[in-house]
Amino acid sequence: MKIALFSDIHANLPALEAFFADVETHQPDAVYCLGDLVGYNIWPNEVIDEIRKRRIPCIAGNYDFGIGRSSDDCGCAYKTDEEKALGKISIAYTNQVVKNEQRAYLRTLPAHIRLEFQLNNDKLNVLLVHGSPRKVNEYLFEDRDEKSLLRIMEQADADVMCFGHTHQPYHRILPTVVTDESHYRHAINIGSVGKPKDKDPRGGYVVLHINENSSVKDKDSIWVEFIRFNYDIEKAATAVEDSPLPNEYADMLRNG
Amino acid sequence: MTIALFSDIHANLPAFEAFLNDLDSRDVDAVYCLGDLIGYNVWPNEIITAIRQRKVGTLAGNHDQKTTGYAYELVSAYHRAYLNTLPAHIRLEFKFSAGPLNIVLAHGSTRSINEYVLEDTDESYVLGMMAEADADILCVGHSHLPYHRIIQSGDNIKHVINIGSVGKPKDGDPRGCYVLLTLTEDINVEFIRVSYDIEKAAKAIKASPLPNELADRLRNAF
Repeated sequence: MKIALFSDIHANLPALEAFFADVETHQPDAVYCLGDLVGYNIWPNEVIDEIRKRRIPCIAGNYDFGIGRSSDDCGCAYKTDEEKALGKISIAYTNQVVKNEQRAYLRTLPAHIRLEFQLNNDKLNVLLVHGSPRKVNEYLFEDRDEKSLLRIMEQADADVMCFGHTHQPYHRILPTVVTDESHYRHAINIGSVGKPKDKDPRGGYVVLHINENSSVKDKDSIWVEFIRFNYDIEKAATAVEDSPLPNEYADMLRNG
Repeated sequence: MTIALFSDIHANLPAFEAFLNDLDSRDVDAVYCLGDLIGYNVWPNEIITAIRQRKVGTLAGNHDQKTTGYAYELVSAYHRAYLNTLPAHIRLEFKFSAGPLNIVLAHGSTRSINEYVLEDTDESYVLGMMAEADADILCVGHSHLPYHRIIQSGDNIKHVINIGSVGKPKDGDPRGCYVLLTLTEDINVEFIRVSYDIEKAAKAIKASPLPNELADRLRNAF
């Protein structure tokens, strides 16, 4: 079966609409959203409404957790004072425009969704989180120490761990040994629909292919397809410039 | 948020279409299917096609694993591959300010795809199984007998919900059944019953090689 996974839309409605059109061409059997529906763009309510309308199972991102509780802290790790100042404007703006009903939806989203497969008389646990299983706002970058990544996955009993948050997609296969047998774990960052940060300004998402032979014992038995799609970046960027949001966020969309 | 849970459609297309019409008239944030898409009637492929098109997160039921017999041999190779890769359980892990809350969805039980968790199943047995699965709310199908059981366990309250059956009820009410689970400050469980064209489903059984008795079971819900 094909499972489409997307996240980090960040209130970018043109990108979300383009994602919906693109994902249909891949005919997935299930779709999950890994959070961060809001922040940085002008359409937080519309993005929430579109996801709810389609009844897409969704987990909470750090930005959703903050806005759901009307907090002025989105849990974002801004590095410089300038980034912090811009971030404050974005969260204040988002708190101002998000309506009560949409805020209540964000507040009751689950933190994790776990799909427990039993194929070939063996377990295969697919864990969906926003940042990491330990923390909604922990960044798991591609250069993370292998031992650390494995420890996180073992503690969470995850064979396949899918997450977003960094907006930088990757798939790492981590070989390990469990009771004297080869056991491969997969760490998959699914990228970002509405705010890519890997120099490619197109939206990104993942289709995870699980088949009857998928197993922790065979590292090639799970296929992760990274998909990029074009969308009307100028529409989103111009909307940012015409709003109280900092113009820097418009340039970030243009440059990925 | 409101989560719709349905299961045990058992290839009954008129019941499934009536369920979908009812579901689409309601405000629902997510939908899950707890398995048993096939068996006992003639429309397995139509049910699977609709569930795949709607991209519903779906579990494997015990009937979805059966391959011999008329009702099971109707399933196309394409849909069989889908059934063979369905997960056994789905867990929704919440972190509310009051504390963590885990909802576990299973077809039969968390221990076995064909174990019945009934309203009168021994309380300590159920609590033991839920502790093992780290479940606060356990949602199951399989028995086609809907109930919501609240069990006090020390300082905690555990919920066991059997969501009933869309396409083959056995509780004396021939209407299809599904559940709306609403999480706010409280947990609210609503059982929805849906009328459908039972005669259409019963006639399809009579016109097929399936035992005629199955038609009577639809009419009388046993």
